[in-house]
Amino acid sequence: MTGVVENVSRMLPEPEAAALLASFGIPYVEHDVARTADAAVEAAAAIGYPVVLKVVSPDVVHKTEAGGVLLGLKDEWGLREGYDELIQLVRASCPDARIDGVLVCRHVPVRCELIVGAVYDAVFGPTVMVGLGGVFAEALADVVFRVVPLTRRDGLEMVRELRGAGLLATFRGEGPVDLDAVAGILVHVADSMLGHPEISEIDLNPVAASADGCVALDARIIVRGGFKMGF
Amino acid sequence: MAGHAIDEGAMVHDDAAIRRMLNARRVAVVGASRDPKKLSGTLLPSILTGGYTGEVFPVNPKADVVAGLKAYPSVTDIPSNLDLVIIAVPARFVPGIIHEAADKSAAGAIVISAGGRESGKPQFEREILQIARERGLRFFGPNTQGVAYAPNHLSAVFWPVVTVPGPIAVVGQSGAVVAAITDWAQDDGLGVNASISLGNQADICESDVIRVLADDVQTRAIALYLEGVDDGGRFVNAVRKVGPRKPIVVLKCGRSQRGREAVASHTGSLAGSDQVFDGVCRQFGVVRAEDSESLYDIAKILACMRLPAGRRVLVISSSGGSCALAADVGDKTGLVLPDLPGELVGALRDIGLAEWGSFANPLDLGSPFVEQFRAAIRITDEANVADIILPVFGDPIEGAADLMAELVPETRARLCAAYYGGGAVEQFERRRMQRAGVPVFPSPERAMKAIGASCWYGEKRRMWEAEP
Repeated sequence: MTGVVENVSRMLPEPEAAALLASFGIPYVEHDVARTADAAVEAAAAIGYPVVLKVVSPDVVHKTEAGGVLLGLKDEWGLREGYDELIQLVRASCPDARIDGVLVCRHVPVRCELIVGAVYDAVFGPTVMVGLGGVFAEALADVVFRVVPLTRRDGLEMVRELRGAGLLATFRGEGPVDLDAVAGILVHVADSMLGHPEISEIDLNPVAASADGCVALDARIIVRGGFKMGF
Repeated sequence: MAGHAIDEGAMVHDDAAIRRMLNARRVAVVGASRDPKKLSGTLLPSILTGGYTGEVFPVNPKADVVAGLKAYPSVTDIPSNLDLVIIAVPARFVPGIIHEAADKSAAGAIVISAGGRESGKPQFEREILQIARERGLRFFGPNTQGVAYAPNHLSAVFWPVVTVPGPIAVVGQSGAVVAAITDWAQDDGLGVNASISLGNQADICESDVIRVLADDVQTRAIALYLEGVDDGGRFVNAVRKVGPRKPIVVLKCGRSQRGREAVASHTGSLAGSDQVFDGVCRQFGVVRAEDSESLYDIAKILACMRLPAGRRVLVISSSGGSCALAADVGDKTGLVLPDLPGELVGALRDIGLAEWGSFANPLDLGSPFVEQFRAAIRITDEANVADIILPVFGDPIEGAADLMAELVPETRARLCAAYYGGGAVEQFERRRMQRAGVPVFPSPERAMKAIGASCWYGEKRRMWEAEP
């Protein structure tokens, strides 16, 4: 490695991203890092089944495409089998990837998937976004932007402006999504962009939103070179 | 990257210079041609026919008299100080003239001359900006069609000359769009308070003008045409302050796809330049128009009609077709057309509506007479069924203008009108109605779109007032 790399943007590994988000007050799904199948079983026992497994690797950008995500593992047997399968799949699709372990996460039933993000606009500077999330986020392109700083009222207004805002109200017998919790995340993301200019992009996708609140299930945080975890 | 830090103290000083330019009492016109077939030959006639009452000094080294006024060989030769210098000579002469203007204590210049970024020569703009900064001048342009300001009767423009003063300010980065909206407003009887073509904005930009017009009492709404925003932080600072006080309507074309910083996230790929601009507008209460007609219509309704208290609209018409069109647009714009209560239908029957009328909302009177409109508006307003009542005069209905002027002060609901399919009577009545300050639109669809926008801005204002 040469010093040049210092100036290049990089994506934080998920455990670091999750810890950083937690320090901003943004809820992240309960998780633990495991480097062996036994450690994964131990982590899952603490978190409770079912669990989700995700590969932790600085070289795998698209985890799902690389076979690095397994959902709904119901018990120890499934977990052990899943652990081996996940490592094999990632090795097959990305033979040179360094694998730092797996993230064992609580499986959160999803009422509604949102995407929350932040990016620098060339004209307006740091902006925050909310949209209907999940794998269809880009296809739906149902998103609303604001510039920072953001108030809680701005956050509520953003969510209400989504074309699909009806999905967040009482829908098919399910209670309305806790919009205050969504607005809270938006404000925290805005504040983190203001307070940390070394963060260049944030992607929380999906954010599981329900009547009881919301929690980020996956995160990409891009930082400029020289960023160090300082908390 | 856009910076948000702005020296607010310096801006106050800058704005004062722009105000002094708009209110200039001593104006030099450099490049005042005697030939009216040349563009620069139309500038001086515009100023004179616009009714300007200050002093005008034509500068033309080849003539002693231009347009009946004594001409001077150079700005330096003018025997008094100046407030404003209008420059319409080739680009290479502009820097020297800015120096001469500064020597005459001018507040600023309007640089009509082309020859900047549109000709691939941005260094020309940088050069005159540097001189202006050093000498303490502000300037519009270069490459602007001009600036007109009605309170000063100053039409420093190629066209159109401002002869009908009114409550809207038209500001834009395209001379043609500004001219078109100004033409419409004058032809309509609405009029304009300012008509400002920004040109290349080397110095004075849309954000400066927004701030200046916010403090301008005669301007009740700002119609803004943008092709792009150069300094996002400056724009945000301006609209954050002005949006809660004075309506700004913006039409932005999507041509300027400004580059983004390289992005690696979904958020980045979803951040089209228009999506971010739209978010900024919504955040600070800037109303977005989708085309030039809407820009004009929304500025008109916001300048002329008090903000509605809610989204309930009652459409009253003499024509079934226009009722249906209005109702369709109402659905799309989120307006509510409430049903009429039963007892109200009884009262409406008593005013002698035609048998083929429809006692619903839209209310089809079936008769093209002012008396039925008057009675229907009064009865429904007393029953408080709507926040806005929209009569659609769908025939050559005489007396419509007088009726509206009579009803506006005594009606609880907000009133605006559409006049549609009324031939020569319409032409006459529509202008009279608009001159009386009642917003009137040439179709029910355009009226409903404008109403929708006024409701949105009204909701923003109520929200800010309840909780600043």
